[in-house]
Amino acid sequence: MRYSRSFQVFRMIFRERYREPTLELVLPTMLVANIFLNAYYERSGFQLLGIVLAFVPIISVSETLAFAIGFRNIVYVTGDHIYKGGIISFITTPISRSKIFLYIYISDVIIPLIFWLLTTLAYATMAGISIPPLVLLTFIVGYFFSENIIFTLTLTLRSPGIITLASLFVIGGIFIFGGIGLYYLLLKRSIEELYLLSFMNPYLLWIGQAEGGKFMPIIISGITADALIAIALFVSSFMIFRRLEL
Amino acid sequence: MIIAEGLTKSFGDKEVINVTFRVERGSITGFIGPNGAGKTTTIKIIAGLLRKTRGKVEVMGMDPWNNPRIYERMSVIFTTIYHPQEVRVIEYLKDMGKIYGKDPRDLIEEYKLWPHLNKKLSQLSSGLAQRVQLVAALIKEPELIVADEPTANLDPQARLEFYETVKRLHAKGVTFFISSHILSELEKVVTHVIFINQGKITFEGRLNEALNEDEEVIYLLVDNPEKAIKVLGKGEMEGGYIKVRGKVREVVDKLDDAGVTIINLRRSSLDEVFKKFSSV
Repeated sequence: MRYSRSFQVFRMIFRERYREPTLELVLPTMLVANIFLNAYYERSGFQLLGIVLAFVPIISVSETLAFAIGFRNIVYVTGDHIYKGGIISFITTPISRSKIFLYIYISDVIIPLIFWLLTTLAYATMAGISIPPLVLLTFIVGYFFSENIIFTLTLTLRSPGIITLASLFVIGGIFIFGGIGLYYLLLKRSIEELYLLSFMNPYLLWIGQAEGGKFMPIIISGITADALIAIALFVSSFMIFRRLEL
Repeated sequence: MIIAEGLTKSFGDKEVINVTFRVERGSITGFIGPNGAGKTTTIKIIAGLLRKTRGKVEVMGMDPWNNPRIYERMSVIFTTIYHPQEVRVIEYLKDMGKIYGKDPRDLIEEYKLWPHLNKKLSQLSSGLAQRVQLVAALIKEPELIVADEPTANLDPQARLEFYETVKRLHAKGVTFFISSHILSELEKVVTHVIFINQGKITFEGRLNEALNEDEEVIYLLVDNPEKAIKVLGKGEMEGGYIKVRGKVREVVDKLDDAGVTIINLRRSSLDEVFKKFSSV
């Protein structure tokens, strides 16, 4: 059976990122790492707080792994191909740049997220834990927000070393300083200002919500802002890639 | 096959090239110029990897920028393989074959790549990498092959093999546009030449037009150099050769009449033309 050219190019791009034993290592680890979901849920007395804590990036090994694979794909595969010229081989196939961008984006960003989503949902279902959809959405939108920042930096800066540093500073800065700022504003009960910073680290607001606060509108505004920024970054990455000179 | 009219590329405020030329269908056109002349920039625009700033560029009647259709009929060869280096030769060639719906096995056989199929691209010697790249380029059966310094990293044997392949493919109707510095080998295969210097075309035409001058530089190896220089009334020693400017027929006749035996005679080559058109 002969597949279309587009599929063949997608397969080449996919294989570059998921050579053996990447999937063999990542999928079981992701699945097993969800053990923290049970642990936190039980320690919180089966309350929302346990689920929220288990979903905070870095605490959640599964989420961190998904993010790390996305980061590795973007910076050390796509970024490296752009830096060393390996991408020329893909650009000079009879496939439009738009499609190549889409295939790279799917392989780099969307597939790790799908791995995470499938393993987490499978684990939660088997464990009988009902995860609020908005908690899932918080990570999904945050994931796109962070990975799209990295994608845009990769296409702009091109050098993997510089991209790694810039990404750490930008994303780390947003997450850490956003968290500190939100914590301070939560203590101050400064609702208007909470709206302003809500996109930087909605997990803190989730903890407040789980502790009996009424922060749902702020959380939703934070997720919406993250989503809008992620879409804007996606569009800008697409435009940069279409005009990428090698 | 390739038309460039007022084709300009600027990086920032600096205009790197401003060229006008044509590459005829069925030709082997040498694209010659010193380092930094704008050869690679021009080739990258033709290959659709750089965007022109102004002017017109057409490859097989199409603008190459963001135009995947040209890659159906055109292959691009560089000094090194621009493909992820962890990929094995067999994967690379099979993938290319699948994209174009062709079986690469005949080409693998023809270019004797069987013993190297399981090597990673990063493990290949320069000559072998160039052979792999050539096979990958030929899988799609291109009408046009654009090559940027394809022999720069090759040893003399590999260079000869490369140009033998060029001649063979040319006989089958493939058009070549090749930039190179190694002119002594290039001049044995090219039918047309385009010289570029400081981003401008300094000569464009058939090879014989480039070489054909009333007076040319001739290198003579003779049995009696001192007598030869005296007879000719001009010329200087360069190594064992006499370097003299003049018409070949007149020079030979004069030496014959004086009884000087010519052991070897070398006429002006692309190297001399290169110097002339590159203001060296």
